[in-house]
Amino acid sequence: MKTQFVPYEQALALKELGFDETCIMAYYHLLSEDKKDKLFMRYNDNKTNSDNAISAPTFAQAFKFFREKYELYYTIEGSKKYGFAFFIYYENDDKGELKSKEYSTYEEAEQECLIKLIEITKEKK
Amino acid sequence: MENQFVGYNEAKQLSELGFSEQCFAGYLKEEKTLWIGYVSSQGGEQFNRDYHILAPTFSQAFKFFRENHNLLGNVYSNASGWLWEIHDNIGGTHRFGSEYSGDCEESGMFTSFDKAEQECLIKLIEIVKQQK
Repeated sequence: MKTQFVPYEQALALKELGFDETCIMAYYHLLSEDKKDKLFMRYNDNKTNSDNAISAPTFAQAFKFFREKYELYYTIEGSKKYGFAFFIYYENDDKGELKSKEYSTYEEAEQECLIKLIEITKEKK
Repeated sequence: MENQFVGYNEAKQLSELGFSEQCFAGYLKEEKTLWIGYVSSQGGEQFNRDYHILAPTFSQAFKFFRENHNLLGNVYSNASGWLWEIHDNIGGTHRFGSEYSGDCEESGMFTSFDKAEQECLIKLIEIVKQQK
């Protein structure tokens, strides 16, 4: 079940990029300097980002965020036999599309696609 | 957040096709209303399967077809709108596409990702039902 949610690093990056939608789960941290090692996922009481909670979007929510806020679209194509690659399309941008290398699983391609979307968006800012 | 979960009809059919993974939500059988809960750290669902039909997210549903029925549903866009296509998950052979079945009368494409995703799921269910 937890594989439906983006990892902490990407959840944090999404928050920095403006993601603030209601999520089912969130990453909470304890009040210590070494916050990262004490993260745990739990039901998101506040439903949004707060000082001590980072909303944990599903991958679907994250990709929707990029479609709607940044007009960045993606698709994952391929097969188990030949590998899965992601394509990112830049709407209203003459850069066209970006194709990744092949990954062995759909989920790995999805994960790497999200990392790339975050990277592209950060570069644009 | 509700739109992350498949509709009641699709949830019911997925259940009939064997979907039984843990879910964050369920439809009350009598009222057909969606109840969103969570999965506890012990792995328990916060609703009773006797009274609810499992409501998977779209991601869960598509994964179910990839892993159990070798069908990869994919939504993508072109200059005119959104489309869907279905491939074999293992070999990659193209099986079905939305062609011009979308809700935009002018282009035949779908006017949103969500609409294309919904229709793709309906087609995946139809394919597997026919195979049974």
